[in-house]
Amino acid sequence: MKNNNQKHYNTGGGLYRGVTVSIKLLDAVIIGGLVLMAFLIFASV
Amino acid sequence: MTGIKKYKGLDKREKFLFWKELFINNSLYIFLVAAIVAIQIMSPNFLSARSIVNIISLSAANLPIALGIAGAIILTGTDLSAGRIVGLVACVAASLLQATGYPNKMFPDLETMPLILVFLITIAIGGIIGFVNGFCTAKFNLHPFIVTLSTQLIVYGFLLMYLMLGSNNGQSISGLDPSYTGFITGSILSVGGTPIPNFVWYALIITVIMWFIWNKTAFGKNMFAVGSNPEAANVSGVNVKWTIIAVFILAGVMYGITGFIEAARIGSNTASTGQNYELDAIAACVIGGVSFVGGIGKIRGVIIGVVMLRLIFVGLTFLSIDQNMQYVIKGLIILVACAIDMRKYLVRK
Repeated sequence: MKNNNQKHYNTGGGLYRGVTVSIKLLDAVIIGGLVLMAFLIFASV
Repeated sequence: MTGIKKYKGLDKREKFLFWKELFINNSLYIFLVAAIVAIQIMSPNFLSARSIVNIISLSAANLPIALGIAGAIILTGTDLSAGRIVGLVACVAASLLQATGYPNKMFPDLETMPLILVFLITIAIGGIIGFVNGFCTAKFNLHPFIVTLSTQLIVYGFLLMYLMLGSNNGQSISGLDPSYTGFITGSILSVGGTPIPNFVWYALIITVIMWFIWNKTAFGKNMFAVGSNPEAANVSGVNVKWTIIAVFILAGVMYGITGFIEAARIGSNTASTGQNYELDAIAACVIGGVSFVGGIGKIRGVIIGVVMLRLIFVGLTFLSIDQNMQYVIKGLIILVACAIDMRKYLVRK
């Protein structure tokens, strides 16, 4: 199995062309986004 | 069986990585299902028969536009003009199908036209605008983002001018012929006393046709080939330019059908009809796994995305959450879905 903790990957095609980004940063965006959404929903009820 | 054996052969760290990948790749689905369960607990009427039929109806109304945009996304593009095309087509369909004798008729001397003729006109309008999008993208090698942004503005301008025609003077177009509204919003089947509108069945037929085009035709296979690698597709003998144009024409036809349905569903059509529909459709596609990397996407993913998005927004309305906050949540869903999509692509590399 691939080790996903490598620092950086250079993305290939599509809208992500030429973007260099860290997997850990993406994980933070995903988890942070979901937590923020949950907070906003339940704070608005 | 081999999958389980393979899993058992992994060491502790690899098992952790496996579960981590599974969790993060499906985190948006997990979140949305958890939110739906939580909303159902807080508001028990959320998943009643009436509410489910409402969610299915709203999803069906948005499904054709999402299927159209999904094709553009598979080509690593997008389509920002979709909503305005829906609006223009809806207003044209409504103006041609106003009831005879309606006092505020847009064209007082025009008889109500046959449904099939208006349907063909709406498809033709969508197809022609789709052709313009595809032609500019393929021939001038422009990104669809900028091409469709310009056609969005052009179409909106035409829509505003169209609404000034005849005796309408920019007013909303209503008073539709009963044969038209009956054809779209009438019902032949009820669930728990709640009628299922006819356009749900039309959406189902369109989905089956699109599934066939995507999976069983040479054009569908060419679309995925061009989306994943246009140079390789070209070398393999695929007509890349024509494939791009055809995908946008097909998308335009889908917007035409959506506009035809939407005009009768709403009943009163204005310049704001169809506004921001493309954003919901793009969000649904991304949630459903249609990748911006290109060449990746499934019809069932688009359906799941559309239904999931509709479920969550009907749920938020059930909880009386502010409309403005719903925009924030919608934006966050798109952002998270894109991050997951990008992550999947990077891990595969």
